[in-house]
Amino acid sequence: MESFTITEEVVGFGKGEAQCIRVCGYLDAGNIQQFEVRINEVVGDAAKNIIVDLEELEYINSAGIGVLLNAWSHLSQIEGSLQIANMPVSIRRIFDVLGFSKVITIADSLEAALANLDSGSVKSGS
Amino acid sequence: MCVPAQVEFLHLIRYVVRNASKEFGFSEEDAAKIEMAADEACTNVMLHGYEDESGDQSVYVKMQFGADRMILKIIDKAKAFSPIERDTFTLAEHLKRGQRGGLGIYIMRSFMDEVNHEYGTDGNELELIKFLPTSESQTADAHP
Repeated sequence: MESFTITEEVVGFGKGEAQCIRVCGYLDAGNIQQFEVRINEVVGDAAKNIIVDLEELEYINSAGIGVLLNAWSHLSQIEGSLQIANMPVSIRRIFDVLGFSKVITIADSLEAALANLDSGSVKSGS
Repeated sequence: MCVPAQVEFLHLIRYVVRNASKEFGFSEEDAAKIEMAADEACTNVMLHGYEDESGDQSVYVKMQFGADRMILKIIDKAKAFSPIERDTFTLAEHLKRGQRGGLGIYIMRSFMDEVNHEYGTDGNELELIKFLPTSESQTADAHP
């Protein structure tokens, strides 16, 4: 069985359109390179809005958080955006303690993330 | 617990450490922090400790339980390496650098009450200590 899986789909429309990436399983040193390659492929070089859905993520290590932070930083610089949606409580607490939730927009649901795009209330690095 | 210094064993280490922490009396939240600190410490050894070395390539994870604390010792027989001697940085500085790595020690320091390193005849010994919350601190957390 794969330790993690990623699926992608386009959600929303118009100004509120985004690429949704769903990550399931766990992310640690054993699979983080595969995760980074996949995320970088999806992020690419074009400005786009990305929502990372972590509802079925069981564990993420520091390198995994680093991959998300770098993707967020890159997209912010090219006027795209990255939000995290459906974050499990255990992972949310870790993001809160470390201060990451002050940097990246964390939405309670996919719908809330799409509403953030509509209202332009997504945190950026600038 | 002794496992080969291979990342495939991280899942097992996390499982054991998380469940032992909860059984000892830590909350889900604290158990998740201890689990993550242990994962980061063992990852360091597995990825950087035994580079180009032969011989015993194992990671020893020892757990000691005192009246008020859990002591986690991560021991390896690789060359001397102290992750806690690396530069400290803020989150803002880390983001400015744009690096993926380097957050591990930040996490260990943030999540554990004490982080100590020693290099002796047994090799590297990284000690991670977490105190059980006192009734006063639990009350303060509930009513900040």
